[in-house]
Amino acid sequence: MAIAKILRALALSLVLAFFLFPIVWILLMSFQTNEEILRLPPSTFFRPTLGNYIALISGHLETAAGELDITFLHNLWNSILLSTSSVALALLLGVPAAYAFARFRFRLGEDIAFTMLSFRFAPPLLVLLPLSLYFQDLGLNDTYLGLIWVYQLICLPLILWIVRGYFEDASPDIEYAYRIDGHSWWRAFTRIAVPLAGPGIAAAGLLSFIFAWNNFVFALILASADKQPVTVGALAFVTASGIQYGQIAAAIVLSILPTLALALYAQRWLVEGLSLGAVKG
Amino acid sequence: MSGLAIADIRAQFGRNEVLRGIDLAVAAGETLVLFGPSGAGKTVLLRAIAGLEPGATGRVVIDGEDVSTHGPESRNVGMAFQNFALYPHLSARENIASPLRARGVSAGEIDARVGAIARLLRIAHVLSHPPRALSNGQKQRTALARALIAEPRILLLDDPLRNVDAKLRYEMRLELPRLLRESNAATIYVTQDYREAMALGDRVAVLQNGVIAQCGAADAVYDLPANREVARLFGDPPINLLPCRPQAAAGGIDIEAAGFRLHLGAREEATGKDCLLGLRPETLSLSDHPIAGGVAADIVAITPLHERQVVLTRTAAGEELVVSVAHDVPKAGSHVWLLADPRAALVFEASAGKLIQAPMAIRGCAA
Amino acid sequence: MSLVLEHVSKTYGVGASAVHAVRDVSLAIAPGEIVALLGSSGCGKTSTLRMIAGFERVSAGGITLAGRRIDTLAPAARRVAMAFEGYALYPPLSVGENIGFGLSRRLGRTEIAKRVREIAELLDISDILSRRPSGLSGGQQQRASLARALAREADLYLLDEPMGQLEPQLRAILRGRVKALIKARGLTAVLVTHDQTEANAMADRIAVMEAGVLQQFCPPAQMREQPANLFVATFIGEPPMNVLPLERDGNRVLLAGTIPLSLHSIRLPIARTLVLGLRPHRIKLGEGPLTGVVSSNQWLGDQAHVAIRFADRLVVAVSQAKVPHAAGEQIAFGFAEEDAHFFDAETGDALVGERIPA
Repeated sequence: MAIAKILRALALSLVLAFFLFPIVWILLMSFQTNEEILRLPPSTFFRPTLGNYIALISGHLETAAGELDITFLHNLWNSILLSTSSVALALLLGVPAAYAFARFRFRLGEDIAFTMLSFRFAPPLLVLLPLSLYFQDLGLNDTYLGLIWVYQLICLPLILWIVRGYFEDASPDIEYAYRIDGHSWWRAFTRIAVPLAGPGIAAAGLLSFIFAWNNFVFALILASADKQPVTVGALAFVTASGIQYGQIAAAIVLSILPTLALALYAQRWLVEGLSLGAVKG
Repeated sequence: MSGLAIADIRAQFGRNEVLRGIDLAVAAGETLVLFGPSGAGKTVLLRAIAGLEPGATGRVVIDGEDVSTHGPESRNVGMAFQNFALYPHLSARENIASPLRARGVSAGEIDARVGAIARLLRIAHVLSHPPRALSNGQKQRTALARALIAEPRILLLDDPLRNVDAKLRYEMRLELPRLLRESNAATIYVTQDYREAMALGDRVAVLQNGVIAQCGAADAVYDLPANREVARLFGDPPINLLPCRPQAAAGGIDIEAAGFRLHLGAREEATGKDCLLGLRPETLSLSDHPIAGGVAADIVAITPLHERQVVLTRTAAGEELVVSVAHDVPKAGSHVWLLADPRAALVFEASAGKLIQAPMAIRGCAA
Repeated sequence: MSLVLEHVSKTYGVGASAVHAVRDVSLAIAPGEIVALLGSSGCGKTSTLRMIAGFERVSAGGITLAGRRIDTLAPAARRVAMAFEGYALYPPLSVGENIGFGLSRRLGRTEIAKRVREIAELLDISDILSRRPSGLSGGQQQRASLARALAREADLYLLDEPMGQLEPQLRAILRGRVKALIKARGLTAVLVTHDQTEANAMADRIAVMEAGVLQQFCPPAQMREQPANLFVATFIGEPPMNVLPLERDGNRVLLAGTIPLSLHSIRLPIARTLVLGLRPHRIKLGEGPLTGVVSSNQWLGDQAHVAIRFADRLVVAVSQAKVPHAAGEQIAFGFAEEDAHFFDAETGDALVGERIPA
């Protein structure tokens, strides 16, 4: 018994070390100067510095090769704005659509739903070239609105398909019962269907937020520097005179903080199965 | 007329005609049991009446008012579902209060009425619990309270006792008739359990292949089932069906099947046709010594049911017959003699399965 | 083969959060016997079954099958055949292949085919032998699963809710056939069920479990006639036993506070709070010293169930003939002294009154 326990603990530690290593490594890098990171042979001991973070926040970096202006904080703001608005819009459109796909059978319903999903399969580069031409014609190039619109390609299918599953899992009888009680269709949707699919909506929202946050190629092509999110902004650290590993690491740490916080916060929600005990059993 | 009248209700899913023209009338205060095998369309019919089946056509008239075009929220029906369909995120109290909230009843009155019905159904102590903290019996009572609380004109109960344990099901079978009578609603009660149908139904309508195959008093359905399928479903242990070809005889027919020789009055139309002789297990008697007209058989096994001995026997010809008697029987393997009561014998056409019956006609249930 | 459980317990978890699923259950099943483990969900019957089958270790105690200690053996080595509640049919195999799957290859192909055919005929599934389980109804899958278990050669047959999904029209005949088959082959079977009608129909003896404890283990008739306690008395029997409180007034026993119960042949222990138990089938209607008002009178085709309001309670009586009284009418009823059951109101234990010789 005791041996089994020790072995299990050992196995768990190994798995944990394997998965956490990149994150810990980046975290450590973010407290080192570029020189320390690139030192050969690498050393596990270093003098921690906040220089990378200070440079990111002050927007000014002095390196051996010269000075560099960083728009990181602005990029971070862009990321938050783009991701939040995209997810909000996708939820607004996707949740009712998911409900319709789950509850009603209509002509071409399955085809439409599948087409939506297939947007996730198509390589983005395939559509980017024509899209950027259209956007230039429409004046949507390098606008927040244009980016949020394009981000629906990422968010909408996710939300649609995840939330649809949750709607399908809830017995329609529960909504029927509410209708029969004398409530309108809209109230049955907002008071019964949406709360019951709550964990699913939260999960889908979180997931699409992360995907939107991590998107790189849409913003790279369709936005200029002042609309770019952190993913694209990090490119600025790849300078002619070298790659600023310390700042990249610090930027990564800062940019995963919002999604990490969100995931931790939403976790208890995601596991709480609201619909337990709703029907028989 | 006060109550419910439905006319020519039809529903079709794809090419599958689930309901093929249903006419029924249920008076206020009356309970009509809708009985039928699973998949017969019982639930679809209830939903059509409630206004939840957009594809269904036909007329639904409640207290003289045609509500066919009304949405489910304005038909003033109460419904209980087989799976309870409680709102999982609301307390039992809020579940029950929901119909009153929809009607804009004041908070004070809601409290009073929810309290009263909860006491009546013995769930007052669990009103603050969410559905997941309730036992199946309490869930079922909560669902029933929600269906009843707004005093609907029409009550639709979709097999509400299916998912509760045997003891509670029995208790509810005794309590429900009074509750339903006092609600004074026109009630349609769906079940697949013929005992429930007999216990609760003022009348029973048998839904089969999308039409009402038979409608009448419960014991009339039991005594004179419209066809072979109804006879098989309505009774436990089920009726014995023996192939036979009746011969003409004075004033009726003679039947020879599995060794039984019976003379039945009237029913001459069965003469010379391929038929099935239906003998309900409890109309057969069993004796451990030879009796005149008795058919010799061996007891294969005895499986007691509800204080009766259900005896599986096999005749010399290899025919299996189920007999149900209230007295003790010899042990398995014994040799016995079976006697059929010609007054309780039923004759069905073998192909269509229709009951061949002279004395009484089988009536419908339309208004 | 004989199955013996000796002081078997099952505990999940440790310390304060430990759950005692099965507590010190001992029972001995004779070769060729059909025993039903009966109880509501969470009573410990499934844990017991799983320990016998080997899916669960015993926390304490021992299990012996055909003289072999089996509780430490792997499931496959126990020589136990099982029909699962969830059927557990192999999806890629046909029904026939499923049934033949557990049979030893040594039997040879023709012998296996013959056995499959025989058991399929018995359970009325000959026509679906070549079909895959996925397209079948619950009742058909259940029959296939039962056939697979019964086709095997084993020392013990464990049947977990084996007939719950059967089509009601087939139930009576199939119950009879399966019981006859088990008896004819002399198999030992343990049936786990929550449905007392099934236990009653199939079992030679019933073991009633509640809260992990074996409440009573005896033939069904004895369980009805001499229930060990109030739990068994009200659990067994459909409709359930009527329970009425009794009061003591000196030497007299009062029913409903006022009606003296004159007992000629039983002397009840003094100074206990008692309750009276009456089986619905043993109440005589239309005659007797008690009167009540008919609350409902339901004719079920082969029996009448009459609920009588008496002393603020509902007393249910069953008659094999129709009862003429309508709801609202007065009805007289009574019972024979030997049909009365007495229980200690506090412990629930059955009291066997001292019989006075006539």
